[in-house]
Amino acid sequence: MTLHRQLFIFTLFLVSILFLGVWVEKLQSTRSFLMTQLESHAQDTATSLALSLSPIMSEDDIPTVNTMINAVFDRGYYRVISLKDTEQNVITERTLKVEIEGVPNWFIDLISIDSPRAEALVMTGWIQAGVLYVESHPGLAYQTIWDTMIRISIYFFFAGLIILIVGSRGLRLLLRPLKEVELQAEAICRKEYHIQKTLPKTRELRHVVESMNRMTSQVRDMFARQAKVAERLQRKAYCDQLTGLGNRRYMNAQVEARLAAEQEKIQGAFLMLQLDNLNEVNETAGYEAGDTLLKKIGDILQQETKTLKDVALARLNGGDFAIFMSQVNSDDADEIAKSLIISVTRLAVENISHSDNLAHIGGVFYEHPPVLSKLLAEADNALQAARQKGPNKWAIKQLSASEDTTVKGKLWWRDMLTKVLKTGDILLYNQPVVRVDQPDKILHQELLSRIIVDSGKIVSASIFVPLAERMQLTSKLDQLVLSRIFSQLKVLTAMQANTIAVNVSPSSLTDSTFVQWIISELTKLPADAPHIIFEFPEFGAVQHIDIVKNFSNQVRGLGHSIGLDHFGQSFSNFGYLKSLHPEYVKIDRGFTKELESDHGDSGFFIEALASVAHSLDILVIAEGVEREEQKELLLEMNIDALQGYLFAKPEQLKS
Amino acid sequence: MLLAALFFCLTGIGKSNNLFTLPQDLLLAVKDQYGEYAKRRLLAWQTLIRDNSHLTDTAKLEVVNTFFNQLQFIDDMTHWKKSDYWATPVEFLASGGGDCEDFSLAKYFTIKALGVSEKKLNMTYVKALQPNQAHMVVTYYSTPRAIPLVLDNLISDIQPATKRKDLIPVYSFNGSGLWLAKSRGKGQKVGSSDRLRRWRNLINRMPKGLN
Repeated sequence: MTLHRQLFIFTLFLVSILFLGVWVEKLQSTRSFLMTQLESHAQDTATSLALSLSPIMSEDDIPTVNTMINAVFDRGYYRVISLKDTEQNVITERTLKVEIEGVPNWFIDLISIDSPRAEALVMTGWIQAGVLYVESHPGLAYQTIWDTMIRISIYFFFAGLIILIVGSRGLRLLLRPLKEVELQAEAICRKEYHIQKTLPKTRELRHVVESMNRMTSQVRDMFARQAKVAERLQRKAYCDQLTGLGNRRYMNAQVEARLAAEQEKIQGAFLMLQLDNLNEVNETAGYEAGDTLLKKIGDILQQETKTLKDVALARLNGGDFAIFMSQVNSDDADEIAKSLIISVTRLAVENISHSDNLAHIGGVFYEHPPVLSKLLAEADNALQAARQKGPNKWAIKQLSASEDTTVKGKLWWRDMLTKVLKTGDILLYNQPVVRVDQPDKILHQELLSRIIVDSGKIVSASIFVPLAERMQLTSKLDQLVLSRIFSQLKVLTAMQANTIAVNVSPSSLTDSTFVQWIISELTKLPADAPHIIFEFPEFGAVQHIDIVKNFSNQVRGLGHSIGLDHFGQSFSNFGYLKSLHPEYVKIDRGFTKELESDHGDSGFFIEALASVAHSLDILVIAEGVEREEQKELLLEMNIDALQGYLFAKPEQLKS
Repeated sequence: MLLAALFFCLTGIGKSNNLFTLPQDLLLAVKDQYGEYAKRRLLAWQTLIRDNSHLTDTAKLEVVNTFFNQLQFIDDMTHWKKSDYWATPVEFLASGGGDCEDFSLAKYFTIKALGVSEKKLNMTYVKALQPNQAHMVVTYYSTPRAIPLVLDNLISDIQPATKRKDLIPVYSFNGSGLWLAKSRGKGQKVGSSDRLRRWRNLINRMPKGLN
């Protein structure tokens, strides 16, 4: 029961008590007053009538006595007038039946007025002739009391009504700060932090509101601190501490992100700079000198690429540096490689402790959508070629389409995807996500789509989705996958997959007809259909944050939700998580992969990510778990669920 | 307080063997205000009530009538500076005088205190011919239809009403009905009736006259 209702009932109770008290008191006093009146009325009549009768009784004129008594009695105010002689024998008597109209019987029983009896002596000279008894009629008294009670009840009814209406309003007004506090608390659960600006005047309530405000701001600060720690760790996770450049992970993410972001014009260059004798420097001049050299190289890289619009720099490991430049032509790439080598060579001149042969640069220039591994491999080849040329040389190779077997021509892919869309020839696989504490308990099944290309080879979504994205075919492709899934819900129900996750491209959501289609399909689903989580890559979701947020709200309204994968790859801060509120985040497999090799850096980062996510009530899932050792390490990191070959490989959905 | 005590004494005397005793502080107060003789009058009254309850009704009437008729007649206006003031027996005795109503009330209560039935006693309004004025006497009826005996302060003797040609009866009322309703009803108090108003006034005023 609400406090408001309790107070309301209490007020009602008090008003009733008050009413009852006043009612009873009024009844008593009216009754007492009326009885006094009746009594004196009877006595006055008795006295005056006895006085008038006395001379007539002396003459023994009974008819006149009767007439006089009738004259008084017939006025109707008396129940009994009786004249008795001294031996109590009735000389004459008049009685009127007590009939009371308009007053209910229960009321008459309740108050029961005894009509008082008055008496007076009737004399004949000195001798007592008899006694005159008079009783007033109580009818009028009953009537008066009843009317009074009705009036007072009506008055109380309206007074009570006014008290309740005004009191209810007043209470609501008074208790509004409590309601606000409640909303505040609920908002905190949603990770929103409202501060009540207007403080209530009631002292106790003001204290509550002030405490609540304090708590809210502390929770907000706590969350902000936590997020900041995670962000710092994230920067660390992508940063090479020594040179201030990025690390290998950073380079991977940058290359993938930039390649995905490029729309029509695909060209750029990837260079690798390798120090030839870092070990030598370390051994002869000490690690400090080696570190100084690495820092200088880092400075040179930053200096020389300063003018470029879009560039990513990283130290991959040891003396290997990488420069990724999108939006440059081959001449620019050549020019930069040259100026880098010149600057590096100058280092050798400045410091005689370095040998003449300091570094080589190998690079690839591409005009087709490349794959990072290919870029690395080709850049390495170019590096070998540069080394062949002599000390401090560079070489840039052109990456040709024919050299990449996976990456066919753009036209070929367009034909392929168009064909798939036409035939609907798509394969569905499922891979379970299991709980950390109960590996046999499946949290959800992730559904993966694959297509078969002409050669009969099965190609996974990670290959064809980026291509479809460039051709702006994702919404059609996603619709195809989703409609296939919707048609196979029975199969999923049969395998007891209560929750499924499906991958959707954030860019598909820009297609409003696609979104409308999903919503209408979702509303059509039967009641026992699985709970569907729409999974978006974090990077894409952040690019399209407003659309994804909107979509999240829509599907949540229908009992479904969204999830994020490749979590931790993006460079944005975690503020967006609050508004997006995904059901889970899947930590990028890159971190899982590096768990065992990077001496705790990844682990530390995963833990930080998990604590941020947990503070928002978001589940944390690690994907790409392949070995028992990884699982063991992940177990220590407060992860909620795991996905990977260690538990189950993706299996084709039996239709 | 004072009258309440007195009241109990007067009404309770017939039923119990407790001796009728006036409170000591009452006697002292009376002595302070009215002097030694006033106190003696009250003590004499107390003795009268104590010693005569064994007599016959007629003898009781005689004793009481003689006792009170020793007191002076004083007009209310001269005595109390008010017209028609009903004094209590104590006030009456203490002040040593009163008008016809004071005589009648004092006699009435004293006779009753001696154990004579209220039913036989009436207070009667009469018209006195000599002097020509309204008057009040106590009447005693040995039976309901009997010719009453008249206890009057105008003459010293008790005489049957038929001998009193100088008085014309106007109206009688029975003392029992006058000041307590206990003879009637179901034991419940009927309320503050107008009949009691005179007595209520009496109660309220009496302590003022004595303190």
